[in-house]
Amino acid sequence: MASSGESGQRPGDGPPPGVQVDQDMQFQRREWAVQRIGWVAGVLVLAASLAGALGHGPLSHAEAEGLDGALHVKYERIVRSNRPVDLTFSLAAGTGNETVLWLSREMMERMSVEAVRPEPVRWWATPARTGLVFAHAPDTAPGDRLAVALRVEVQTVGGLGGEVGVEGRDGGVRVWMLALP
Amino acid sequence: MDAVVRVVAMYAFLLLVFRISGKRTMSEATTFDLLLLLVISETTQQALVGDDRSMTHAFLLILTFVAVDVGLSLLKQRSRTLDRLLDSTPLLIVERGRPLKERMDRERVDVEDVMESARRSPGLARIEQVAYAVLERSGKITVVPTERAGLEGPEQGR
Repeated sequence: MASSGESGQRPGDGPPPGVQVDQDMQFQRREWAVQRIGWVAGVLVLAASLAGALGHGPLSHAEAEGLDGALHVKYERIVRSNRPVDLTFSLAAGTGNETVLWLSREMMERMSVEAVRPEPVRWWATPARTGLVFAHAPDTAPGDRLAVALRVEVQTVGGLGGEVGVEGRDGGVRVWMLALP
Repeated sequence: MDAVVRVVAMYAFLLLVFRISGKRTMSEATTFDLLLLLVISETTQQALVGDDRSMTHAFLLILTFVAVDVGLSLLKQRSRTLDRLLDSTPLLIVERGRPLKERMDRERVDVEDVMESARRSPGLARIEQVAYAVLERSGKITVVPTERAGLEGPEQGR
């Protein structure tokens, strides 16, 4: 970094006589100072990236659970636009033969579902929600946990909020993601 | 519109990174620098093209790059401040055979870099034969020989 007194012109700063060169030491010293700041900023960005501030790291991982415990979701808080990212759900099986995972319209409008594991037996949509219906295995008891994974791509840049939930259970889980370009 | 925004953002980012990294960063044509340049261009290409490999998209990307470059060069002609901000200024690093150590350290240049340019052109053997060496805005080192070196005028180094 520039030491004190370096901001002004010093003896010998001008080009020597007979050499035509557009040297400006005052500007040059400012440039060196800005470069050093830029290096520090670059290192900080890299460190933040390793920590997951730009996605795919500890700072990015998030989990949420509904009040009644019927749904637990793991997702990435920070994602990249148009790049696949996984949402994994743990759902409490209902009393019937099927359990429905729903996603709110505000989520579905801004992301595409690329793959679902296991495959839902059918989908349905209402103006407010899109539902994925999963059939139970024969030995599934009410309250057993079902594991579902969605591979999605966020189609826009910026904040994306929405709710996910299990049909027939109270409320949903609020999910918020930031999509980087 | 997406292509134009991508190009402008990428141009600004590359300009910022290479200004921050210093004059010498891409001026040395070592084998590794060449590899680095290829890796950076490949990475840039992927971010710009994305999923759209159409001719229209390619035309738009190239046109935007050229337009931004020409536009900035026109602005630099009109504004000396902008010219210096974007392209920096030349810097004297050797004066009458004496290396200006602090300046060389800050620009990550050593005497061997100067001598490499001096040997290549104008063909000098010792640092004492260097009247002046200038680190140009491009990152290249220009060497002016002393009159006693028996050579004519300045010549461009690498």
